[in-house]
Amino acid sequence: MSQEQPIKAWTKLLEAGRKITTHQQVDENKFYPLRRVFRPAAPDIAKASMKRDFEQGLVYYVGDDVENDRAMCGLDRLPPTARSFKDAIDKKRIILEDAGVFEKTTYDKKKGTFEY
Amino acid sequence: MTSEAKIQKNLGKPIPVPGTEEKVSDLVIVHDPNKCTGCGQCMIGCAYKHYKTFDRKFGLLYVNESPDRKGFYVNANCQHCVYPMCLASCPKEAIFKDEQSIVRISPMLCVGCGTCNQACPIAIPRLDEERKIYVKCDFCDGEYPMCFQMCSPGALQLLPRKEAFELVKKLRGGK
Amino acid sequence: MTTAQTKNKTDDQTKYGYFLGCVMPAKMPWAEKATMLVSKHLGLDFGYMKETLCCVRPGVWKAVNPDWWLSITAQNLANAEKQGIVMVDTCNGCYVSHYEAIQELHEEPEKMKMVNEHLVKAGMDPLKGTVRVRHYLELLYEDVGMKKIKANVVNPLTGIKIMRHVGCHARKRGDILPNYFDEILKATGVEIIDTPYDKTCCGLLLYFSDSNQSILDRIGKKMLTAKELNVDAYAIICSGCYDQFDRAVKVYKDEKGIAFDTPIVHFSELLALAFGYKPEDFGMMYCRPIPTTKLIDKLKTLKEGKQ
Repeated sequence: MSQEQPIKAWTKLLEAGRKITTHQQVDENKFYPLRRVFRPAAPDIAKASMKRDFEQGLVYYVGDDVENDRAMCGLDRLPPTARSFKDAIDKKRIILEDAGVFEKTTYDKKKGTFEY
Repeated sequence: MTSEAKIQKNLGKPIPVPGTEEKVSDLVIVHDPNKCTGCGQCMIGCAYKHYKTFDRKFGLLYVNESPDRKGFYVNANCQHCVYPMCLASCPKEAIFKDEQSIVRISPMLCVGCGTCNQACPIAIPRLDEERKIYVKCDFCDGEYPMCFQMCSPGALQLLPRKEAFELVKKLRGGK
Repeated sequence: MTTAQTKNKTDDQTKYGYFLGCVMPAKMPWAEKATMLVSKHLGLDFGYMKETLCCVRPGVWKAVNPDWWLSITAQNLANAEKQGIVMVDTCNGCYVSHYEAIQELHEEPEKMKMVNEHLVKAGMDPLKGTVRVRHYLELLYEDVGMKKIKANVVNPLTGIKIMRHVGCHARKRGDILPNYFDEILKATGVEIIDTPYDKTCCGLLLYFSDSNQSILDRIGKKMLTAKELNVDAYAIICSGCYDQFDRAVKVYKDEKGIAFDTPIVHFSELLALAFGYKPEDFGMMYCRPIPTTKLIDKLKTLKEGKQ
């Protein structure tokens, strides 16, 4: 199998995922060398996207620059997605909470971080 | 429909094993390379189901681009053979065929010698780096296999063994 | 079609709600505009679906937990049902997610019950399961019909060479959607170039798993073929695939020093152009990783040549 380095954008995404994790297993294992590393329900690589999904209801954020692009193309500045309808996100969060997604992925909705 | 009901629907009637009076009622996963797009969802689904990671290298089936043909993807997945070579070769008798006709490797008995890998015609059992034992497809414990559920282009098909054999024969051009 | 005719027809026509998804509003406003233009031009009662959320990518969520995937997707389905619309997806991923979810909920009443409990807790109406999910290609081919599309083509794009990318999820129902895509592209008058990598996945699904294989072995090979063959454009359906094309262009530019020059266009843009709209009408030249200047210039020269 090739030992190529992963591409930089991917590594950044992985680091973003690690950044929002409270317990860094790699670091903690230095103090507890016998503790077995386990894989949490949410893999590090997916955490950044999952956080955006949980917080904004969508994976891509529509910011000012995108709003300008939209206006240039002759569209409304704000898309009719959850970006304009904030209560849709609240409902989504209730469903996520109720379905046990937050609990199982160890997501803390107040802090916006994953425990593991 | 529950996954058991779904499997029953696909299963049909038991098939006689050639040369014996035995009948098997098992399903196999067959791959149609003409439909495969190489998206790798099957491997990712398998890797998450068994190892909680999206890294395809943890998957228990393997899809790769064909070395002879551009843009053509071939696969290797366990067929849960009627007479498994891996089972016959295992020096520790760690491999067994359970009542659901699933060929399994017992993690308690396996010593990681790799004979099964050598014996298998398509080298399916692979080394689990963490546990240092050999692992292979467990047909998702008789549930609806994840790889099959994940395949969007319909390249992976869940068929009774006889129909699967017919399909493979057709794909090979009647041979 | 004149406005009077359209008005008469709206009463018995179904109302279509356009489900945007994540990538479309953020990265492909030109495709969104072109889709709206084309649909209005063809006299469809086509509007936006409101309160849309992420479709919840089945590739990730179904593997993680099918119940979660159903619960989260059901919110979109319940919204569509409440708004009394037929849900229209242009993204193959969203389409498959919704299409499979509604199918699975019909098959398993227990799951439907579970999903409805979550929905009621969130203060929403329970899902009855009457909502219909359709792909935009289906809408064009089945509801509008090739006859009408061909009749509306006033500016055939003859002389434009394109490569096409269908996407894995569009193959969920066999060759139905890929065939529709080809027929619609042919109606615009473009010349389709076949390559060995036509069927290959864009690699988005592999991105979380193996970035090198995802970018270099899948999308990279497709884009390099397009560069080699010097085609004018790469036509796509799915906004998820576009996300991957966009990423690959940046990665190749930053890390490999290879600049691709084949613009990636949505098929609705080609339709809009063929229907006589100008590139400025839907902002074809804005916010793209690969500028479409060359394609627009070629279109202009071809048009002048015809006149």
